[in-house]
Amino acid sequence: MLVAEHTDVLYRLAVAIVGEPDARDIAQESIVAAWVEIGSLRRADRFSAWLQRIVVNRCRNLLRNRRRRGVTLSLHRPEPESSNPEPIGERLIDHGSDFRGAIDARATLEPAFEALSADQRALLALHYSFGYSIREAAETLEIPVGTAKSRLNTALGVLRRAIEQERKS
Amino acid sequence: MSRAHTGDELIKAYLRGRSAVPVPADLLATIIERVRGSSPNDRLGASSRRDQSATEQALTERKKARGPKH
Repeated sequence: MLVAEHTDVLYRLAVAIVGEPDARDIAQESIVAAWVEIGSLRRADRFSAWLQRIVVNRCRNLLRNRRRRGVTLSLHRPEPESSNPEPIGERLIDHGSDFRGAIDARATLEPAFEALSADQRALLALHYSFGYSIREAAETLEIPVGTAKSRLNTALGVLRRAIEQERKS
Repeated sequence: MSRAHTGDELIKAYLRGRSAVPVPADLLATIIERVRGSSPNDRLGASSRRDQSATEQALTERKKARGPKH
């Protein structure tokens, strides 16, 4: 079924942008909205990108509301609902980092990441988490490649500075 | 390995880790149920159903608050 094909990616994209607590609602609402609005899809071959943009738009609205309310997220993650209660540190180890380094990096990078816009987060997620090329990420978000490169560099600069500051302190 | 390289590796690992999460087991079923309850281009219908559901929930909570009838 079409929904099943996309749920996984859309949920993970939402997690990457807004975190686990809100990702479930974002994924649900986005897919239902897509179903209701399917008539506005101009190109069937861009269905996947269209769905991902709906997720990014909803994440953008959520972040905007969070900032208006002055909500900040803690590093604590909720108890996983699935049968795979793998802590974040373990996930990072799987990608080749040592445990201590991964935990330190998370504590250092999380506040810096929280300062990024939804669009910057979406680019980082598509490029680094999902392995899209910059061109593919730009096409998905319907922005020029140059804009994508610029946003990506700005976002990476924020994260790099956070690590540098941590090393200096 | 230079320090800058190590920093970028940490950033990449952090970003990959952010989305390396298990998808909730019941998410797909919930979505399918909700999609079945919505018709394409039926925004008013979906909105009405949400309102109806919220109204029903409020009534139930009010009944609970009142307690059993004597």
